[in-house]
Parts: sequence; structure tokens; C-alpha cells
Amino acid sequence: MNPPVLQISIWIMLPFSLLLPIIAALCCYRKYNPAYMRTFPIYCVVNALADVSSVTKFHTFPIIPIFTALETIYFAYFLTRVLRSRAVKVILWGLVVPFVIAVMYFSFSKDSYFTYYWLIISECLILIFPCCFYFIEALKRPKPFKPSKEPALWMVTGILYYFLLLLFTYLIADYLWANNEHYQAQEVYSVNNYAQFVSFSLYIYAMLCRRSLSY
Amino acid sequence: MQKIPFLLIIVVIGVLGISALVGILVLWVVVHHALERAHLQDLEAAKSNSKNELLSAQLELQEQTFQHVGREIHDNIGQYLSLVKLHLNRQIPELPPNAQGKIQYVLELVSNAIHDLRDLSKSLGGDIIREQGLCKAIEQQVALLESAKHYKVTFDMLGVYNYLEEEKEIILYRILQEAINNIIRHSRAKSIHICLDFTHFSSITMSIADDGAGFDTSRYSSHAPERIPGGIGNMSVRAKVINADFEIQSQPGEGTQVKIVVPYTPDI
Repeated sequence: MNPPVLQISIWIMLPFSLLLPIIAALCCYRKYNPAYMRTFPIYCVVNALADVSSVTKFHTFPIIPIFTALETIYFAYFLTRVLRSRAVKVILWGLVVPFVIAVMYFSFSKDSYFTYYWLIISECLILIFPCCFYFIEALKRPKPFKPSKEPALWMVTGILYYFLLLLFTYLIADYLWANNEHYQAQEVYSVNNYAQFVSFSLYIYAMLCRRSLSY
Repeated sequence: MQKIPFLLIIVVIGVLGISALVGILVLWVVVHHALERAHLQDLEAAKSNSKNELLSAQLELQEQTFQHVGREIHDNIGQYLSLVKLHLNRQIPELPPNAQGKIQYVLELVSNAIHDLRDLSKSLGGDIIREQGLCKAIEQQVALLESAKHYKVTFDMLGVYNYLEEEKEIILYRILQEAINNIIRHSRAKSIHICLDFTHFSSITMSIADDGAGFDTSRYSSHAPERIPGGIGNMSVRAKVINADFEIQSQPGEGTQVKIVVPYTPDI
């Protein structure tokens, strides 16, 4: 039985997760949305399926690593579209490709928790650094932009916020898990769902930004 | 069990810390770009102001030149012509009767030339504007045009005429002269209609319409006023100096209407 804190967090996050593909399908194909938003509804569908599977006990070990790999590939693709620095893009894909190969290799490993833990930590570290770089680039842009018309800013904020909290949550939860405090570890894990809720809200705001930008 | 409250504090602090960190990062970007945008807007405004000042200075210089030329015509050429008239008048009694008629005719021509030069001098110098205002100046222009007996000219004054600032009146008058000049040179028009509208509370509209050849206005629609060549450019630049809206409506074969809307605050 899940702790009540975790259960509540799931029921707060899940409706947003299911709503996201619908809003994405309605908003991302409008002509004034930038091209990099076109693929976002696909990610939202996959994400909603993963969230539903985790609630309905269909949640088996290989599904989550595979979803993690797909999520990393999608976000890496998205960040490649919004970043300008070629070097950062090369480093990003230089990390993502071995990561995905490792995910495929370890997906059916016997020590599932250990593998999963390192997958998540690696995913967070891989995606946090280009997000931070995006902010550096945003501050250095020669031409000022209106944040309310820049979907990439809110998307990257959502990604950065989610993965920073996920990294923090997993480090704490792992500490508790290692000390056989499984119940408390699950409670701490509920933070992940709240973080998802916040990042989904930021994605929705990004989708509602009206003007397309070539950047 | 002591560990749990301690961990809870760490979790709360961690979550709040990360949220604050990301929040500050976004806020930094938002504020940075807002300040940059404000700075750019200030720069644009300063650029536009200096451009307007430059245009204003150019027009002032032009105006001074007009006044100088006007004075020269009045004081110099006018003087010579008056002397010619005086000499001819003195010569008339000494001439045989058949030559007197011819000299009388020459005297009439000289008188007309003096009269026209005086009008031209006043018009160039803008004296009539300073002395009697825009409405009278337009009436004088209408009379000049009608005297050529080539155009049917009408002038409508809507509302109650109120004196504007001298600069605005002179610029409106110069625009009118430029528009009339364009009509004479290019339009092959038969009639000209001038209208000065004081019925709006916050603006004055002056329009000059003709039934001439017209032209395709799309040639100039994307140009900045100072880049439009010829008379249209001159009118457009002058209108910009007094913050007026300048508009030309024309189609080939359907005449032309020049419309200037000047912001105006009536004295209450």
C-alpha cells in the first residue's frame, strides 16, 4: 500500500498528465507556434501512458527504463532545437547515445532497483546541464525577447525544475531505501509528482505562448 | 526515528531551495530582457527625436531661404520694376500718340508683374500666414489658381477657424503649395477641391483633392517618408515634423486626394 502522501500526489499529477496530450494536440500545431513544439504532443502521449501504467499496476520494470530512454531522447532533441551552441549539442548527444545503449543493455538486468537508480541520476545530470546552458544563452542574446512570447523559455524551465527536483528526490529516497526506510522513501518520492505537476503547468504555459520564433 | 524529522526538514529545504533557484533564474532572464527592451525603446525614441530635430532644422533653413528669396524679390526686382514703371510714365507725354498706346500696354504688363511678384514674395516669405492666418493664405492661393482660368477651384472651411501655432500653419501651407504644384505639373486635372476641417475636437484635417490622372500609390507605401522622392516625400517629411498623419489616396485615372491630419488642442 502506497503512503497517503504519495497517493495524493499521484491524484494531483495524473489528471494533468492526461490533460497534457489534449492541450498539446490543440495548441502545438497552430501556425504561430514554433516548429520545435510540433513533436511535443507525441512526448505527452508517451508520458501519459507511462504515468497511467505506473498507477494501474501494469508497471513492470522494463517499461520504465524504456520510457526513461525515450524521454531523454525527446528532451535532448528538444534542447538541440532551442540551443545555439554547437559544442553543447555535440556533448549532449555524446552523452545521450551511450546512455540509451546502457538503458537497453540494463533494462533486463536482475538488479533492477540499482540499475533504475543510476539511470535516473544519469538522465537528470545529462539534461540539467544543457538546460542551464540555455539560460546562459538566453541572457547573452543580442536581441531582447518577450518571455510571454518565447515558449522555449518556459519549456526549458519546466524541464530544469523537474529534473533538478527528481535528482534531489532520488538522492534522498535512495538514502532512505538503503536504510530500510522504504515507507519514508516512497513518501519522499511524492515530491517527484508535485514537481511533475509544476513542470506540466509550465509546459501548458509554453504551449499558450502565441508567437513563433525562429530561435 | 530521530532521522525522520531531520530528513523532512532537508526535503522541505531542498524543494524550496530548488524552486527558488529555478524561480530566480527565470526571473533574472525575464527582468534582464525587460530592461534590455526598455533600453532599446529609449534608444529608438532618442533616434526618432534626433531625426525629427534634423528634419525640423532642415525645414527651418528652407523657410529662411524662402523668406530671403521673397525679400529679394520684393526689395530688389520689385524696386527695378517700379523704376521701370516710373520712367515709362515720365516718357509717355513726350511720345507720339500711336506709341503712347503701346507704352500704356507695357505699363499694364509691368503693373501686373509687380502685383504678381508681390504675391509671390508674400507667399514665399509666409508673410500672409503670419499676418492673416492659414485660412486667408489658402483663400489667396485659391484666388491665384482661379486667375489662371484653367481650374475650377473650391475651398470649404468646416467648423470655426482657430489660429494654430505658426510653425504648424506654415508647414500646412507649404504642403498645400506642394500639392497644388504637383497637380499643376502632373495631374492634368480640371477641378481642385481644398477643405480645411476644424470640426473634430482633437485634430484638424486639411485635404486637397483633384480629378486628374491619379497614380499608383503602392509604389511608395513601404518607403519611410524621407526616402520617398519628389513632392510626395517633401509633403510627407513636413507632415512628420508636426506629428501629422499624412495620407495619399489615388488610383490611376481616378484623381488624387492628399489628406493631412494634425493633432490639435483647442483653447478652451
